Amino acid sequence: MPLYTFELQDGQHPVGDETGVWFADRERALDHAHRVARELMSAREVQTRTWRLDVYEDGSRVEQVPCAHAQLPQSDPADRRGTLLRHIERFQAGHVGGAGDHAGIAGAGRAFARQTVSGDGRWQTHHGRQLSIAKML
Amino acid sequence: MTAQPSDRNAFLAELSATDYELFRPHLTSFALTVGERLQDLGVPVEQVVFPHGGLVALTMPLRSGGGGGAILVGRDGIVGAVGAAATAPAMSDAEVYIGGRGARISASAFRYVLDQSATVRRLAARYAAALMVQAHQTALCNAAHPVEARIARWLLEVVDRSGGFDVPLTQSTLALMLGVQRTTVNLAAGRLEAAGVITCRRGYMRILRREQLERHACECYRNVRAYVSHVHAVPAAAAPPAPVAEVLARKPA
Repeated sequence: MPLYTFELQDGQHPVGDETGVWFADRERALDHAHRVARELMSAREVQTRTWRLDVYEDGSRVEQVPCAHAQLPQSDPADRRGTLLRHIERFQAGHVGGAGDHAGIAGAGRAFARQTVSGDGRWQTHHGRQLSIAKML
Repeated sequence: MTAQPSDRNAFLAELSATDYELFRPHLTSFALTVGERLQDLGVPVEQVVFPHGGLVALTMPLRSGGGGGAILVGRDGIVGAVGAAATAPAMSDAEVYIGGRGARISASAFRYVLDQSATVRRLAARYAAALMVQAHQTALCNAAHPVEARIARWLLEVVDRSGGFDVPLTQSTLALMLGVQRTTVNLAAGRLEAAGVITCRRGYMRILRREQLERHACECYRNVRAYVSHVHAVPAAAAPPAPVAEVLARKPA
């Protein structure tokens, strides 16, 4: 069973976890790396968007895990995007009512920000309109 | 009037001589041993523990074997008081992380003492409030703050209770308390080490620059500290202090 070690590249100093973890195969090691990357970037997605986690198998680098992509939603992206765009459309149309709407918009905003740092920032709404990050901000 | 020695548990030290006499016949001194379980989630609370030193972590278990969301109790707190007072099951697991001495009293004797004294009831309610604010703040902290800030907060919380600059906890233990992977703790702590704030050794971490560590910590550290200081600012028998919001609204120096 190979020993997997990890090295964080944060643009300043490479930081290694030389203790490492034993995994039965590389796939599990990469799952672990993605989870670690998500934990490292949580609550500071923009600051960590250029970070990378290098995975070493018995001392040899086998993978580079970019942190920015590790935060992508694990649930069905299409569902999340649909929910988010419905909130944005309601907001743009002025259909903003009670606390539920505000909470939805706040949640949508957070998801939007996360998507921004890991995607191209351009989506199409249910009504076929293009939304761009630049116009929203 | 505070009548008890200051090396005792803060709750016991804060009792008046009269109130302490209510406790004294029921208290048993014992050693808090690392790894000892003081209570288990959902199991009726049979004892209330007053640590004189060391560190107890209150955690919530997961079916997968992990857990997290730790609240730390040292000589500044009580383990099991709310469950014992309410004759309710334990609200969390409680495990000794750093050894020390403590005193314990049976849950039924604790309820008897509460029935005897209004000032003891008020004091116990304050300690329960301090515990609750830690729980609320930790829930927010886990959701809203980066892992390095949370590590910095916990290191400060631990040394505040254990004294000195060494944190005799492994990174695996810290990972368990924070509910993250050990690799994550190693890498985030490694960044703090690269910044010259701490050093990591096998089995413990040492704080090199406390002020810098406080700057790395999230606001939760200051908020809990301000609340707890405020709650304990006046004796339990005295009039209530000024609104807590004033304390929490103060900007750090």
